[in-house]
Amino acid sequence: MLLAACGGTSGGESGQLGALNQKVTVQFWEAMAGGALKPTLEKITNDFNQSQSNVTVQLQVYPDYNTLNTKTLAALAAGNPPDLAQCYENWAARYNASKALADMTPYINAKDGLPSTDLSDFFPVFLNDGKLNNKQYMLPFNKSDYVLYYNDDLFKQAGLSGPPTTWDEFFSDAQKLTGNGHWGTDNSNSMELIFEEMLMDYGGSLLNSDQTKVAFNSDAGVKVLQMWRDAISNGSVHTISGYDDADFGAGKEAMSIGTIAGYSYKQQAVAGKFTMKTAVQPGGPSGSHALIQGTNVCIFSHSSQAVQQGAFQYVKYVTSKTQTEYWSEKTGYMPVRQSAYKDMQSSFYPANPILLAAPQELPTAVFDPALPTWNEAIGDINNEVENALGGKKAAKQALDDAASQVNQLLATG
Amino acid sequence: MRYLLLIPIAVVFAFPFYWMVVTSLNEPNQLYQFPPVLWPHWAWSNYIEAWNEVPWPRFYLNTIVVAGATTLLVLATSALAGYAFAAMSFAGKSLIFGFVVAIYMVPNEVTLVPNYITLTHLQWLDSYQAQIVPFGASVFGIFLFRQFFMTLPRDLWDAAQLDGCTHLRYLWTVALPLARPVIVTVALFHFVLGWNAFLWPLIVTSTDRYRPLQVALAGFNITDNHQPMLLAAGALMTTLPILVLFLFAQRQLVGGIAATGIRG
Amino acid sequence: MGVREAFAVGAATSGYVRRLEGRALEGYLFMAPALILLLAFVVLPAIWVLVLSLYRWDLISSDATPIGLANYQRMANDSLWWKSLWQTCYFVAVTVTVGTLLALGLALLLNSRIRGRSLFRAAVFAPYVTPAVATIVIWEWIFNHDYGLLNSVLAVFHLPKVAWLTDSSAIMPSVILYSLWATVGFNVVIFLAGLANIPPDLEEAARVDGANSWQVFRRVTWPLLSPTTYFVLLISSIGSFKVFNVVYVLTEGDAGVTGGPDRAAMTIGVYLYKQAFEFFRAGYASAISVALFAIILAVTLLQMRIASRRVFYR
Repeated sequence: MLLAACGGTSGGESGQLGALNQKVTVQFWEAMAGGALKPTLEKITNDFNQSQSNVTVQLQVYPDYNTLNTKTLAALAAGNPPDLAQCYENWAARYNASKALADMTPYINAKDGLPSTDLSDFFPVFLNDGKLNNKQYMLPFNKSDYVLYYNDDLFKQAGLSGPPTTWDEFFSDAQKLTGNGHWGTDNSNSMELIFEEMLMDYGGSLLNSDQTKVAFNSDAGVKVLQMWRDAISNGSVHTISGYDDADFGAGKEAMSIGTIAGYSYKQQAVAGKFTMKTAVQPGGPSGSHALIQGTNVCIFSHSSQAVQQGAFQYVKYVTSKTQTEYWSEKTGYMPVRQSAYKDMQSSFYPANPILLAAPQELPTAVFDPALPTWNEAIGDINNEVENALGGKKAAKQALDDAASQVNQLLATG
Repeated sequence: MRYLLLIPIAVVFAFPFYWMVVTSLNEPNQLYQFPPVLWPHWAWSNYIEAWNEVPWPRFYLNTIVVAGATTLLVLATSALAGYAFAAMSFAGKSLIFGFVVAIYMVPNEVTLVPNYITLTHLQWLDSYQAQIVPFGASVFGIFLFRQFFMTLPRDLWDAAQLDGCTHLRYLWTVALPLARPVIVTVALFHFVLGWNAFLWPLIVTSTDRYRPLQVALAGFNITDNHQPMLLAAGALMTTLPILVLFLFAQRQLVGGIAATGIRG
Repeated sequence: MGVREAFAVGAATSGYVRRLEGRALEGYLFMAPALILLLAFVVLPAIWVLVLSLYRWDLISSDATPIGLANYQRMANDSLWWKSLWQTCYFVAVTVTVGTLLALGLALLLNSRIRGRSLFRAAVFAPYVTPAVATIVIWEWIFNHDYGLLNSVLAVFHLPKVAWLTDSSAIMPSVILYSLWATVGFNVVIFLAGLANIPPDLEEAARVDGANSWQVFRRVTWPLLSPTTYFVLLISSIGSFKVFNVVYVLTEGDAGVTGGPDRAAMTIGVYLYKQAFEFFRAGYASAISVALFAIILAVTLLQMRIASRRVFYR
């Protein structure tokens, strides 16, 4: 099937692209600005630049994903996009609405591309997620999901034998862990994301089947928000501003649902004061769902074919078994290849069990819809979810308000 | 009696600056305390860490280039136009002057979108000129220079003309040297404005190559939001040059601001 | 520069300028650099924005589509726009009135030969000249719910902690508090300049006639200061309508929603920025720009009208 796609290579000639044989410079825009991410990506990139003589990759780092997306759009507006960028699925959909992205298929099939055995080594969920209209526009780079971090010492003190496996247990444990200046958990993280996951755990869905209207203002949605609201009211969920690492690290907060990519911040805050552990997120009547976070990388069609091919060489390097393992071990992101995961199960995870929860959730992976306006929709939903949790609106009202805003977005753009 | 009111007020106004220093020199275990620790613990390593986090020298250079070049451009355009309005005669002068003054009423925010589009067409996005040229003319500057040049005695020009002086030469060799206080005021005002510029550079810069300090600091605030000591160190680093300038040139700066409303 | 002042001087130009010889062309050449820049980056854009507001354009796909008044219709139905407008008015009303009164009080306190006068003035004025982003970053930490300075001050008075940045009813007061701290120094300086212009003999004469301090202020200082007061009101309302930095820096980022909890600090300036440069709706953002311009113009004209009746000019 992959070989059949060969006919689509650009350049007019049928058949395979030859190996890159000229010097190119590739601008890579990324948002790996904090903690261990920055030095690790810099090292990988330096190693790549030195490993061969044709391609030089230059990094341009942005403070956060929102800035990266905004600046990429601005560069597209100016007709001067980067060659390579990190992208979420819905960003890519937006970029590609004006045909700004390059189909990676020709470069995958090129002489210096990825053999099919190599390609099928990627986790299939990630590879599928990288497709728009059935074409491979993205490959996975830094993939994460939310896991449950918990303070094992506080769990033992409260007489709890292990982490909760259902949301009901999660909230009842939170209550048991509350008191004497401690609290169960907080709602400082992106609650919109946890809401999405729990909505599915309780049998709801985000959108209707043809993705034209929202469906989250359902009984399941209301139930989920109500659970959080009740927990906030009884004091077991603490409302704070910003990140919860300081409170968790100080031993005040017993549980934190957070991205595996934030592991190094937690580790730093805890600094050995107690035993921190992780577990897969709890589930509901309809199972558990892990919304995959983190980005893919995409190549822009504005760049010359040689530059695109050079960018792909870098993508190939970064996602190779060795490098994805290195990246994963340094940052906590999941390895994107099955062979790397297998390798790490014997060499790395036994000594670092904390990071194992993230890939363990992969069988339950779900993705945000790849719609051009979804990034804006997330903001609207998050705002109303916060309104409900803050007690400013009834759950149903908040979800209905969010629904009408997002429906309008989906309809008019 | 006045002091009883003034001293607490001054303390309230100055305290955030003190707090910047204290926060930048404390360790996390001193910061995450309630009530807060009011004294610095001299954790200078925060500065090293903050300095190594992002390419500050590049941001300083960008800010200095932009603020400096904008200031020079404003001085040139303002002195020329101010001189024309004060000392030359041509048809429609007062009409044009009224028009220039009316321009002051257009808020920057209104022109953001069209100017952005203009810059995309000029291929100027993410450049120094994008941050300099749109601010190269100043109604404030034109006005101050005009005011000053109107006070120059006519005899000066008469004498210069006898020596065969052109307007340009007269402006350069006689009028401008006399206008030093105005030059200092306009220059200080626009240098500070350029140093502090935020919204426009936030919009038109996209890479570190051209990004000024303020935009970089706002980004730093997003990335390192959970590290207040590093943020405070960064904040102090971007503030210090302006604070020093302010302390040395307080009289001129304040005088310049006051001049804007003095005649009310 | 003083808008009103400039108008007055502009109108009087021909009166007291002694015309010097020079060919007309040379005069135009001298003005050209400034005028061309002002035309290109202020005047023409201010007209162009009207045209843009009649189009739908994401700046990325190559063509703009004319859609008549649809952007204005969208505004009429956009609850977040109305919310931004209302919140901006609230912000303007509080910062302008409190800011002006506070500045007047401070200026009166400072308007005497006291020791360390320039030191006091520097303390009050410093926040105005220092880069806003840097001071906002520090205030963000001062506002912190759990470890912030402000809540510890409240604790001294046995008051409960306030969630300055996370409670939707507290975020706007926080924004206002910062803005007052940052801008009041400017108004103080203007007031001091205005006070310095009042001849001391007038106040002295009133005192000799037996007037007390309040009467001197009410009958002499206040009327003579009215042009300055008017100028401060005008300049600070124009500035306040455009508020951007503090809201953006306090609320932007991975950990927050721009505009704060429930977007309770969303202002026109920030909303305009979001629509134009994050969502790339150039047409809709232009319509918002036009509305902002109209509002500022209306406020200016209204204040000018009031001033023409109430302000005392010597």
